[in-house]
Amino acid sequence: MSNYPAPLARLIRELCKLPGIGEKTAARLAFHMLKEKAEDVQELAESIGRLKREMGICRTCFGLSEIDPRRSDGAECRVCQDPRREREKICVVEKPSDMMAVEKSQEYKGLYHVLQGTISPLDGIGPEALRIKELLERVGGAGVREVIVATNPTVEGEATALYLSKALKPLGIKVTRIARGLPMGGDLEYTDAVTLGKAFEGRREI
Amino acid sequence: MLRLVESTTMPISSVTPAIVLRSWSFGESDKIVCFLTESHGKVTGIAKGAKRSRKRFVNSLEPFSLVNLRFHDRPGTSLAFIQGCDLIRFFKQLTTSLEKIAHASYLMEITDGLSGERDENRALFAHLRDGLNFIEESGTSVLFVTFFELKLLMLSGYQPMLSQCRRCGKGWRGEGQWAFSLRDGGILCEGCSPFRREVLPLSREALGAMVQLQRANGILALHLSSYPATVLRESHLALLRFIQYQVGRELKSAPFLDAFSTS
Repeated sequence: MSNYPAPLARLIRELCKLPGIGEKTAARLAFHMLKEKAEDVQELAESIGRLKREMGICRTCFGLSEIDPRRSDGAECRVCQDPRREREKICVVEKPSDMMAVEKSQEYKGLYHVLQGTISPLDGIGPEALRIKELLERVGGAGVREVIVATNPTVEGEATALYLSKALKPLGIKVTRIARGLPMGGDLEYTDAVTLGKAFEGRREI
Repeated sequence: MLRLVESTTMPISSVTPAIVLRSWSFGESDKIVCFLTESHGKVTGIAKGAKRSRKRFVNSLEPFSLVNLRFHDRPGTSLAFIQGCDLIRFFKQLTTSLEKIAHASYLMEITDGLSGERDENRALFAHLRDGLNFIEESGTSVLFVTFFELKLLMLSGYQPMLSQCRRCGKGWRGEGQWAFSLRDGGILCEGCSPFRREVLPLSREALGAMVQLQRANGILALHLSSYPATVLRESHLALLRFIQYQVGRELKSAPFLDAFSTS
């Protein structure tokens, strides 16, 4: 990297810090930016700068939201603000990107709650480190009838789902877990035994 | 003329049954996984592309999985290259209650802490496998955890001496005030314990239970044993402190075991 002029070397070094970007890719991106129009590069730099200044965490669901400079207690995300969403349902996910994945399916019209992690005995992460207390407050205060637990099908995800079920059931809330099984276009022959077993467990009448 | 020929030999692969102890993400798509293997002791390796692979590692790198592990060593690093994993059995009943998850996690963490890298120990592997199997089929209890801890300490070379005083050699005959010394790895008589640090008071009943469980033949013998809950808890807490002393750190899963145990 020492062969590059200093500004170019600096950009390559910064780009290398991004996930999945090695030195070669970083150099290719840097050379691409060098060839681009000045205003396009300025736009990119401005977008990166605005990302940290304008993005925050939703005060209700703890998903991603745009920061509202008029409010000191943080903004609400678009989903929480949307009056058309079904307010009696809350889908619980581990992280904001999981919320985006569920949104892409266009099947779910309720609200979300982002836990910001999972319970993990082997990593020493307990329920108090997650946004579970806030979920219980939210559920207790509003007219929520169903909580859909959409944590990942891992040991940690299952531990979190079991804990939520135990904490929510005494409140008289219906707690459901998303189904697991075969992907669309999949092939039984090439499906692993655990997934196939879960698919049989979760079979339904047609 | 002397010619240097670069070695083109393929690395030698090893195949062994293994239990996944823990795994964590490494970079964009890789995972570092720690296994307890049947024939190579503890093996830590890198599973390239594990987060994306739908063939080589599908559902086989989760804790509580018994797998057939294929790996080879890499020059200049202790981190093995994991070529593939075939799931033999996933202890799925372990994920049906918080109590089982907490107990199984504790078993795996203490086994991880007390086992050495590449230290072949078939009995230790069998002990962990049987332990997970026991929780899956028979549920959890302090009695089982105490038995597991005692046998694990024996198999990993840290067996505490419970039959006589570690300092003066006086034999324990079920009477008097004895204590457990973390530093000495065994019990101390009334005369020796005041002069030692890192000593835990131990009731006669708890010491008696530990002695009997240390001699128990196998997990199945537990069905015949019966001790008061307070005695078992005292024994387990002394052993937990001893294990933490040997591992050199607090065990992360211990608070979960405490919080989610009902027995």
